[in-house]
Amino acid sequence: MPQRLRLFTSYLSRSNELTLKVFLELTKADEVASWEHTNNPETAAALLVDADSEEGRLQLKGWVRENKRQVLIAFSGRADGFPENVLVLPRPLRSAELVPVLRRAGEQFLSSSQEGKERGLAQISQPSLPDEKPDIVGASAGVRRVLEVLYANQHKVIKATDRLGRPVVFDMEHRRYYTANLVRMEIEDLLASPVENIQIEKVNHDQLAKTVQNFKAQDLDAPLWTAALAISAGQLFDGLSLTESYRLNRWPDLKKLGQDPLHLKLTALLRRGGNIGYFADHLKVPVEDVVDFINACRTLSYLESQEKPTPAPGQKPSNTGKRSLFSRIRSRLGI
Amino acid sequence: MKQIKFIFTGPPGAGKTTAIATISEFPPVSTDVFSTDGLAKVKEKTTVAMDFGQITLDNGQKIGLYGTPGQKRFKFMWEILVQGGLGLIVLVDNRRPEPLKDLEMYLDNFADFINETDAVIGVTCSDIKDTPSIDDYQEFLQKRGQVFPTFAIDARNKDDVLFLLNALLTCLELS
Repeated sequence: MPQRLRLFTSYLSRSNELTLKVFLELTKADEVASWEHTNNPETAAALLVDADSEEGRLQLKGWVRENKRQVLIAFSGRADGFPENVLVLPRPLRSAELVPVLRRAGEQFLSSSQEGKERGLAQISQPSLPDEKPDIVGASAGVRRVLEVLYANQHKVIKATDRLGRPVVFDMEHRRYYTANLVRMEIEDLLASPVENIQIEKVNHDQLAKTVQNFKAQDLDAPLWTAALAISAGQLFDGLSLTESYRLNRWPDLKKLGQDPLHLKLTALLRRGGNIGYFADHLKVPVEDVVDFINACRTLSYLESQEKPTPAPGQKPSNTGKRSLFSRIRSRLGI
Repeated sequence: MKQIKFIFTGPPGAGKTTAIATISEFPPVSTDVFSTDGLAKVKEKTTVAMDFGQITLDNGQKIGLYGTPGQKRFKFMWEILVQGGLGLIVLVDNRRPEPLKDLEMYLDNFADFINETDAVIGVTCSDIKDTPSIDDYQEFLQKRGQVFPTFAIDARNKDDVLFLLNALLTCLELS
């Protein structure tokens, strides 16, 4: 039975890291080992570093000097010049080269494990470390934000009080918030704040009217959307995956949430469903931009998992005639 | 040859004629008559056959903007008008007693056309009556298993009408 191993990466660009995470899914069918990404080098079976950067080159040297138990992989445009025990993953990042390198890394790691060297430390079939989060955790890894608490309490009433003692009551069922003295931007800041900085308590539904009697109800969707986009930074929120297929269960009110042309396109695509890589490929936009949008949709509970597999880009017959007609209509109307 | 066109539908008074007028290159040709039934309280005239507007593309191609008569008794006209249609713009008047039922009726009656093309929904007069909210419309669609662009619009506002058309075009391009 194939082992599940973890890969730690260092000094990779964000887009390479996201691409790599997608490619790791290709190892799921591997007979030797399937790979997952980890942010913790101690639990990793292999350490991959971008050895073309000065910092990465120095880090690799350090790892070699320390005689790390993990398999070392250099991501580089140079094929040689590395110590014998370092595997080289040629630049640019391609699945055709990554998969064989990981297979070799898996074989090396498992054979050294069988020799009794710290067996199982990196095998995640064992119980996870208490503070270990799945690698799909992105910007929020280690930092739980107020908006995540709200997402986890969809039908509840939550009272959040900032460090200045200013309360905001969030009625999640009706997607409203109540405040006496915070302006919209402060609400967005509060939503994006780490929970450690905010006092959070649940309020019974029957106490809501009393709690908010002097407050005015305001729409929560727009601040939630803005805060989610602001903290996303191209990293998926907890519980979301780069490879899972998603679709929208309703159309976000983009007129209210900001008229971003990319968001309109992503909404139209997400209505049919697919995974993040598919959307990025189809629209030829950075994965990070799609991730930000997906995070925002999830925060508003507009996202649901899709069981049907994602259609491959370009699978649908293209209708160039219609596309050119639409483009002329847009040009004529100035949209 | 069938003319390429966008179809505007919705109950009487929802703003179909007005929306067409905001983007057509000439004032819409309307087949309005004076209302004689209960509708007369809401609007003086109502469309009995269709509204017709037009835009001309840079290659000379004409795109029709057709408004259907709103009343269900003119349903026979709807099937004729949708032929050659690129997509459907449903306008719903939020002041009416049961706007969600209105929407349901139009979505059901144009179901075949929507399946072949796509649809967007513009909710008018929500500044006068704010319920149902856009969220209520979305929830209603969600229960039907449908996801359509749905926005509050003012049919007199060109930007609002273009926003709807832009959403429709994007759906058509990416579906």
